[in-house]
Amino acid sequence: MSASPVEHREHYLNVSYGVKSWLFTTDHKRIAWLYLLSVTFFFFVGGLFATLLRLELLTPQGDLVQAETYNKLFTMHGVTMIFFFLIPSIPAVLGNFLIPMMIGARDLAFPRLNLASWYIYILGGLFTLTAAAAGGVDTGWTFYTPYSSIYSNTHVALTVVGIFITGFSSILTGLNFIVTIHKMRAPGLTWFRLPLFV
Amino acid sequence: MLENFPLFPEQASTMAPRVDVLFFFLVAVSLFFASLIFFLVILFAVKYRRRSDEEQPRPIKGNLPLEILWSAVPLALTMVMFVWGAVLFFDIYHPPSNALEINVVGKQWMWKIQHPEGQREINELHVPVGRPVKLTMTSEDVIHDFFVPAFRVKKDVLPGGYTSVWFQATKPGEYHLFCSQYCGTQHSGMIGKVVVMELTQYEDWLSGGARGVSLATAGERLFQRLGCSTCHRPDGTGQGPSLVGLFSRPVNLQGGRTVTADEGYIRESILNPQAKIVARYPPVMPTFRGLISEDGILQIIAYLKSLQREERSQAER
Repeated sequence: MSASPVEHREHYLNVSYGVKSWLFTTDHKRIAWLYLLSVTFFFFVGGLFATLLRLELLTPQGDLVQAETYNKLFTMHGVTMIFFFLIPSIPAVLGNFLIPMMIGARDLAFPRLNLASWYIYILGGLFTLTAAAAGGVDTGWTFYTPYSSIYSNTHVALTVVGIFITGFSSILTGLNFIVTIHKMRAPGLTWFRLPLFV
Repeated sequence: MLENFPLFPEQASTMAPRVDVLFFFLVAVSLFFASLIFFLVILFAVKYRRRSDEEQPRPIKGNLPLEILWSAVPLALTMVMFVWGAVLFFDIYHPPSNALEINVVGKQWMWKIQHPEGQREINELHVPVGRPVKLTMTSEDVIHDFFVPAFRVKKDVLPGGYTSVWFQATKPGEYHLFCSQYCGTQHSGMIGKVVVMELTQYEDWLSGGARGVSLATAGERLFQRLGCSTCHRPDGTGQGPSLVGLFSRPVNLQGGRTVTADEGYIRESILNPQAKIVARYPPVMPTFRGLISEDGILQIIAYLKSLQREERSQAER
């Protein structure tokens, strides 16, 4: 190990500081961090719902929550984990961070659209959390009709609007990736030489 | 083989051992390859580790025999799984023709059972041992799912149409019946039991208790009461086609199409008569939606089936 003094190198973490520099960033690595923090937040929200389910199952009686609340809890657990943790986690976090580096691009093709995707995702998440706070939804995350369309009288519409909004976030991120991978690969990086992740 | 594997529900139908053997085969194959891959990952990580800073990995140019091997072996294995699974699926899908037919109507949150002789049950299904039983199932409201673990029988029960499932119980006893498609607040309470009885006890059960008229007779009464018989006269002189001998026969429709008159077709024709118009008849039948229950439709179907039997027995004479 050499004891040479650490030379100060500028990188995406120390190029600027402050909340604003993060919330208005168009850097793909910083946006990946924004996603990482937000999916972790939703992971814990979903985990909280799951914890309540498991606590209720300690005894056969409905003593912590009644059947109705139990059904809402596992629905909210499923909705949060699927749409706000699982779907954004690998593509939005790892994809944002790794894809430009793996193909030798400076950033994604549309950096500001990338930031917009994150805001759309957060907006959808807020809608769905509002639905949960307003009394929840009890259809299961699959929203099977006709139960969800006719028979359930919980906050189906609000939840689905939230998921729908978040869907646009994934669509825009996907579009961004596709354009980036098609147009911004380093010279000589042909389709068959792409890393498996890409 | 695998008669009483712990953690597994009892095997109480002819299909149960066959489903289990396939399941264990899949588990064994997966377990073998998972262990192999796990072992090789560790082995290669150690064997091909970088031993010095100067060491450069040699480029790999490919290995044709190896590639063929790891394509052919999984292909062969998945084809075995596919054919085996498909054969089993078709056997589960096609009930034997001599099956006892029982109707099941699911609703939030109970199972309503109608036997052909008119017995009705709620959350209980009595069947004889050693005889194939075919269930014709529908729902009054949302999607349910008829699940009897001991029989390895599980089938969605849909509103707006029929699904069917069959089983042949092998051991007398009482078995759990669950709804396994989330259907609302009391979904977890939508449970019942299947009582499998020796044939003699089953006969006793059939003759005892409050038995109403048979399904076919109830259907015939409905057929009169709703005025179906005004147009659908047996001799074919009414405004609508005669329904004698209709069931399971092909029907020529306007526009040259042909459908088989199964349960789903009859149900559709009662609730949505304009959907399929029989050739050479005017589209004048009104809908009976709201005038007839799911139970009632099943009774009419039983009646139409009985018309067929009479005709067949006459033909045999």
